[in-house]
Amino acid sequence: MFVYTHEAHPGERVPHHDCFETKLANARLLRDEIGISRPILVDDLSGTAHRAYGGLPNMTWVIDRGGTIAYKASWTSAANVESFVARYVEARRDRPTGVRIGPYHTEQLEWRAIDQEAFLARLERNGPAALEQWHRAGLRRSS
Amino acid sequence: MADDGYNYVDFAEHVAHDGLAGFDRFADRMHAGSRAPSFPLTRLDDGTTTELDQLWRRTPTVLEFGSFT
Repeated sequence: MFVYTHEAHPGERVPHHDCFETKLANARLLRDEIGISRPILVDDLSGTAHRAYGGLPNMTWVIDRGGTIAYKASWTSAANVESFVARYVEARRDRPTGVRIGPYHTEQLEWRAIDQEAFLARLERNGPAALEQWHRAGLRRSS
Repeated sequence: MADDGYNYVDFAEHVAHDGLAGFDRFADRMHAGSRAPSFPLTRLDDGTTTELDQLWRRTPTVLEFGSFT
């Protein structure tokens, strides 16, 4: 499931959400431009769900059947999520008869490549204001 | 819930008002093993409302949050 949130870098072409219709229009634009084939859920205008889950721009959470949080990542890596889900499913479904399983907790830092050029291109896609605001903010990381 | 600047117009102003603090707080909240909160969301394809907990009632669910940027 993809949850559409808000525009972290609003611009002239992809504006901030001044009403829910604008939010829906941006979500449709994203679906059509990026080609998202998964079902898309749109959060409410004030970001109730997004903020409850941490409010970051590119998170992934995996929720077990019944509602227990099994995985949280502040940044989405498809390979990392797929690897986790494969292990998770294998442990639960493919265990030998009679073998009991129990959970344990892990925590680690992962590293990702930061493609500043692609990031700036996405800001430009949103509009010149998004690019200007990024430079004015004076940050070094892409967020 | 009030907007509280969630739909800001200016990213630089958002940063100046501690808008990126969530990055530092993320690791300290809602840990694996705890209960996932549920909210009603709107399906983009047909405009109907879906409660998140209905998704994971029968099967595990991957939730990716995102936008253009």
